[in-house]
Amino acid sequence: MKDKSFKREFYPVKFRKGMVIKMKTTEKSKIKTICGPVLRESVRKGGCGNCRSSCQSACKTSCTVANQPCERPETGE
Amino acid sequence: MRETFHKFKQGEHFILLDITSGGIHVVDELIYKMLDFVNFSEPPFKEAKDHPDIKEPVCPASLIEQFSDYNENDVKACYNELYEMSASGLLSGEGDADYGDYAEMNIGAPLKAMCLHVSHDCNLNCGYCFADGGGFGGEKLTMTPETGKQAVDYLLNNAGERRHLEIDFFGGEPLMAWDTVVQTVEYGKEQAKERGKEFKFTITTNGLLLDDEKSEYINENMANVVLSLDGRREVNDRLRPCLNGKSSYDVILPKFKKLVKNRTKKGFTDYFIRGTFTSYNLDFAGDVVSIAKEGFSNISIEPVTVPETFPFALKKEHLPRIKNEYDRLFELMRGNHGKWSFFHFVIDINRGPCILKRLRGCGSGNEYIAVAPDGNIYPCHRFVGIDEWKMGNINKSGLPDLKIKEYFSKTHIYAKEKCPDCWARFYCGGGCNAESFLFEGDARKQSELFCEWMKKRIECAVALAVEKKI
Repeated sequence: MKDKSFKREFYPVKFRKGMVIKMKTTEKSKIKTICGPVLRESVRKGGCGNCRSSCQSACKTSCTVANQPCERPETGE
Repeated sequence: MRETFHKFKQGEHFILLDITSGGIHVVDELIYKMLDFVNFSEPPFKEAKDHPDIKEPVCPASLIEQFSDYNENDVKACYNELYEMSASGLLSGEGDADYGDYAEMNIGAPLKAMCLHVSHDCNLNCGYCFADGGGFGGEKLTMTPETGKQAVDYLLNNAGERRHLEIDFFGGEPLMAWDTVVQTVEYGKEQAKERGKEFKFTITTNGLLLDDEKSEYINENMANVVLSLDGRREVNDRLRPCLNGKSSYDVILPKFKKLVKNRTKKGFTDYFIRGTFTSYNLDFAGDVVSIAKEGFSNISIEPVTVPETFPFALKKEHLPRIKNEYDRLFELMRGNHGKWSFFHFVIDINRGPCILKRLRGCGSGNEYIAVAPDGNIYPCHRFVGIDEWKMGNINKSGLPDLKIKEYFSKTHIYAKEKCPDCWARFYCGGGCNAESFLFEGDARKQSELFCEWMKKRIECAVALAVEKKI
């Protein structure tokens, strides 16, 4: 229990010379994260090919790729 | 220089996008300003007050001086928050070189989608038609039902293990080849059942030939329907007149209303009223509002794509006005309580496509092709009729021109001229290859005009999504 509460108080930072520094966690009041690193995470489970094709030509209803929903079935991962 | 983050102000929100990770953050004004000056490369640190073995970064004196108008403790607190964000990988810094490994994973991908040009003829006389009145620079042709069925077979035979396939009925005006549409859909459904596949059919129509029977069939069988209308009556009729020069608006509007009413009753919400804006109606938010007032909720108004020689072409000088109009639409949409949505401002920031999809965009010429009425295959509908891009013919066995397929499978964002360094690269996926070719002479060279309005729309879309979550 003691270890867990202790861990929440810092985050590790690896410096170039190999030194790892425990940096104090800040209280977030200036930054509100709306969406986490979804793209980086999508590398792991992406590429199923179920999504619709996304024509980007303005002569159709041009889709910005990001407009599309991911159609990979939810697996609870 | 590759942009690793992008900050913008939309409405009253200061928004920070971390390009590589996909992270989206709302920040306060001081952080917003500080982002232009901050550098996180191994800052000095000091002991934290209460824990001797925990450190905290020391805010550089230059930053405190830069923001001397602000309270010093606030500057330090902002710096610390930003530093933690960076050190935790939420402000990537080093770019996305790691995604380059996935860029060419799609070479030789099986087919997924097909745009079927069932009619190279049209019953309207739109001034901006890129299809030259439906004929795409050639003869006015109608696809036979047999060719439609062969196209279904071609897609199925080249789809590999893919289960979800798409066919879009396009033209010209596809309702002028209604028999081909129906026979192709029925054959497709039958074949899909036999082969364990699922088709999503879609259709894009000007609506002139819609009647109850066709509307009913579309509502029963099409996963999406795109209904062309430019907005206000005078705007629509100026560039979308009937062949006899009379108003198309008065004929089409009641038909669209009926189709959408019946579609919605059945519980299908996928449809779009899709219009075009030109330099004649740079106040196009008014057209969105006009369409919404007629009771439609899914609305898209697209910029016209014609050469600058056309009197109503969009040019660089129009960009400030276009951006202002997107701002106006942003304000209108945030205040409409969900009654209608503007297509380009709808984005699911948490569950969008994976990075593999975002690297390659539409997949034209590789997993998406267009088929002309005579069975000729092109990378997409915008290349139809251009000989150098003809990939083959569905009536002939064998794979399409592999050189063209390979070229498009390698036309990902890292292969394009400006995309690798652009902040919007994972939102737009590199834009439209055909428009790049038609306007810049190279499918890998983006038009600045298209990039600029694309970026503005992304900012508005992200800001609206953010607003729902704060």
